[in-house]
This record gives sequence, structure tokens and C-alpha cells, in this order.
Amino acid sequence: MKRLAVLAVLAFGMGCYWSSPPSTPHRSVQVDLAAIPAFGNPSPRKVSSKRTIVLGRFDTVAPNPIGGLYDRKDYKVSPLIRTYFYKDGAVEVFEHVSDGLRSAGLAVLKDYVGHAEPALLDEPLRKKQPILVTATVLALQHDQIREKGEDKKESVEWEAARLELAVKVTSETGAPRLNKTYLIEGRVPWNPEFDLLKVLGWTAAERLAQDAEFLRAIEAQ
Amino acid sequence: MKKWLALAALLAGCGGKVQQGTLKGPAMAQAVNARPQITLHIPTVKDARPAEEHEGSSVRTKLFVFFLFGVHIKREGNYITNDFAASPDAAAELHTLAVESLASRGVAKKVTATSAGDFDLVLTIEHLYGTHFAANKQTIVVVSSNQSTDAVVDVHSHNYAAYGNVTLKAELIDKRSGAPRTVWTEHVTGYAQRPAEKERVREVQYAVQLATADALATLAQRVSAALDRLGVGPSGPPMVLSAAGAFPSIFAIERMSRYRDFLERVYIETGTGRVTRHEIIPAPDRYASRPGDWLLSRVTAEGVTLSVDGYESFARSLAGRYDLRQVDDAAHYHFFGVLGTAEPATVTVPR
Repeated sequence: MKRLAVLAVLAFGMGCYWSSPPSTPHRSVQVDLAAIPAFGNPSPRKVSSKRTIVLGRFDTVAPNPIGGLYDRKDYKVSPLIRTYFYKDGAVEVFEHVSDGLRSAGLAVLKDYVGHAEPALLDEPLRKKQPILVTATVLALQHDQIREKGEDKKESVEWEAARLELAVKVTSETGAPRLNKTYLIEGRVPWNPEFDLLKVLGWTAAERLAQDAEFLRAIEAQ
Repeated sequence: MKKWLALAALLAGCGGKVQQGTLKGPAMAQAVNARPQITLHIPTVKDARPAEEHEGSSVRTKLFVFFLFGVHIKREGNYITNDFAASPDAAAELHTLAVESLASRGVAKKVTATSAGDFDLVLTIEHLYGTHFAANKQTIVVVSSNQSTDAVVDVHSHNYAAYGNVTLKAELIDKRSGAPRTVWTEHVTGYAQRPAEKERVREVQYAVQLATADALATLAQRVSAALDRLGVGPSGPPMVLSAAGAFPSIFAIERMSRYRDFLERVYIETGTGRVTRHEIIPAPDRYASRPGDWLLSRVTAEGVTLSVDGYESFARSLAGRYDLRQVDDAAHYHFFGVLGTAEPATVTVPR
């Protein structure tokens, strides 16, 4: 008993303490594969609008590492095997959201300079009275996860992604039309050829093209 | 006594000496051909970071099981810099670095921290920290008898890369007319990654410095782009061309490299279509266009930026011979070569 007491004092004196630590990098969330849907092949539905849409380059507040490789089937210390770095995630998603909205039939022009700022519109474009759309990436996570299969023997490998997008729609004068946050998350079987950021961007576009509030804001049907 | 010393040594791994951090890292890049036109004032930087980035966090002990003759410890979680490790006065230090960085890149004629300018650049720190994940477990079983003391030690540890994260909220306010007007607002980020070395805290601190430098480089690019769009940026006064006037005899097309580090620019003789020069330069603005797309450059062979109307007029004059289409870029025409040679467009052409 005395030994235990000495050891406990020693341990706490050294700064160690009981806790329930995170098992993911700071500001990442633990992905529950069973709780998120499988990504399909996103295909934004056809919509029409007479207005030109200027899509301002997305900015981001999301952290790095962007994600990690997890082996939940076989690990010695932690399921997290390594972490990943990618600094251009927001602009990649921006490109794919633009492609997705254009495939829906909208006249989208990307503006790389600003964040859909009315003051930065070129005069010829301003004369078209465009609707300004942009977004801030609040969260962007891309993980690779190996899990036990249903037979508990074979492993199954997944890629999972999570995108939280705060979309802003304004008139060409800056009058707000919509501020809304969208969460897109899902999983796909691991495939080295697969471009998950593209799927995320197109799924975001698909979601926007289905959302009545967004369609109303951009005067589309 | 020996086993208690061994346990003490083991537990000592829970802490560690951390040197005071600073945001000042590698030297700032110099401006290239900058022709700044306005003065820029950067007021005191606001610090709006969440409390955990001030207080920091250490890797935590998940399991602490005593056996009668040993100990098992599992530690897992995230190290996050506190104010001491990142910078005891991050706002003031970032303020100084922002002024130095934007001045050295030639964004404005004068970048000042004190006196008024044509524009104010208001900066708020939303995130600024370094971090690494850590996981290790250690088991020591001590077997002692009257004659000897033996220990069985089992250690597993895994090192992870260190990361620096900086997010600034930036607002550019035009004060030239007397009535301040916000012309640009954006979250500007800086990131860095360092290898999983033994000196992990030092690597994390270095990652914070690199992320700060990255954020300031991005800030300079974004502010330059915004000022250029307003016609008062470091690219100089835009060249005004009129449809009735003479057009340059050479035009340039350009495309961004896959990872946005370089810009490939090709100069073409307007009359003959002959390539006169081909250059690859560090991308002046890594977010200026989509990688791989050939665009009609807004820059002339002399390095002068065309005005909006000038670019439009020039494009129209070239359109009789070259295939130029506005595909999806609000500020550039896509270039598809000499008319009639490109594949039929698979892209739509919004008008």
C-alpha cells in the first residue's frame, strides 16, 4: 500500500494524470464508418437560371493534418498509423463545386481573385448583375481506414471524407441572400485512382442543386 | 530502490523542457518586378484564438495500471503549443512580420504599422499553433529477490509528423475617398509540416514558424491580387488599349502547374503564330487559375498588365485568328490554339 501511494505521488508529481485522450489529430473527428453514407456517383440535377453566377474562390479555416491512415484491425500502439498534409484542399473543392454547378446547367464563372467581393468585380461583369456565391471551408477531412470485415478476419479498406461548407450568396451589391452551412460526408472503398476531393465537390454541388433555399437565392428552378 | 529509479525515469517522459517560441522563421522572399502604387497601413493585430491555443495541451496518459511489481502506461493524444512554445506575444510579433513581409514583397509603396495609408489591412489571428499526435506504451515488470533485481521492459512508440497551422482573418479597407470601404475579406491560411524527428517539440515550433511564413506569403499574394483588380496593385498601372489603337505584336498564354508552384508562360507572335519565348517562373499567385488550363495572359511581353477593357479589346482582335473562349473563368479567356484546329468544345460557353 505504501508502495502504491509513493508511486501515485510520483506519477502525479511528474505531470501525468488520468484522462480520456483523443485518438485523432487535433481538430479531426473520429469517423464512424457505419454512421456515414456511401458516396455515390454525384450527378447534380438540371436546373436553370437566367442569372450569371460568379463563384468566388473558397477560403478555409480547416486545419492540417487533413487526415490520417488508420488501421483498426491490427495495431500495436494506436490505430492512427500516419497523418497527411495537403494545403490546397479548399481551392480543389472550389474547382469541383464549380464543375458540378456548371454540369447542372448554371452559368458559373470562377473568380480567383477575391472571395466574391462586390468591390472587386470587373465593370463589364458587374453590368451583368451577377449573383455572387462563395464559401468558407469550415472542415475538410480525408482519412483512410482499415477495418475488420464482417467475417472478422479479412480487412476492409475505406476512404472517408468530411466537408463542412459555409455558403454565402449575395447580390452584386453585396446584399445578403443566403448564409447556410452544408455538411457532406461519406465513404468509399479504398481505390488509389479515386479522387475523393472531386467526389466531395460534386456531391456538394449536387446538394446545392437540390436545396430550395440555395436555388431561390440564385433565382434558379 | 533501483526499480523506483527505473519507474521515475519512465515517468519523466511525461514532461520535457520546452524553449520559448518565436514566429520569426526563414527569410522572406523578395519582390519581383513590383511597381507598387499605394500606401498600406496595418493596424495592431487582434488575437482571437481559442483558449486551448493559448493554454496548449500535452499528450495524455490513457491507462495507468499497477501490477504488484510493475507499471503499464499508455499515452496518446495531441501536443499543442501554448503561448510560451509558440510565441509569448504572437499578435505583436505577427504584426511586425506582416509589415516586413508585405513591404519586402513590394505590395505597396510604403507599408506602415503606425501612420495612416491609402488602405488599411486589418488582421485577426483566428488560429496559430503547432501540433503533433503521439502514441506510445511502456510496460515494466520488475522481479526482485534477495540476491538480484531484474526488469522486463516492453516499449512501443510511434512518431508522427509535426504541423503548423495559422489562420488569419484579413480585411482590406479602402480609405482613399475618406469614407472607409471594405473591398476584400478572406480567411488566409498558412500550413507547414515537419518530419517526425526525435526533437518533436522543436519541430513543432519550427512548423509554426514555417506556417507563419506561409500565411504571410499567401497574404501578400491575396492583397496584391485584390489591389491589382482595383488597378492600384504591385503589377503597376494597367495598360489601356482601345479597339481603335494598335495592339501588341506579341501575346502571351499561360498555365498553372499541377501543384500551383509554377506558371508556364509562352509568348506568341500575333501575326505568324510563332512562339518567340517560353518560360517557367514561380507562380506569382498560386490561386490565379486552374492548373493545366491554357489561358490568354493579362500580361504583355513587356510584363505590363492589361486593363480590363484592354484585355477584352486585345482578345477580340486576336479572335479572328485564334480560338479564344470564355469557359468558366471570370477574368481570363481560355486559349485553344489557331482557329479551327481545336477539338469541338466539350465545355459550355456562358455569356
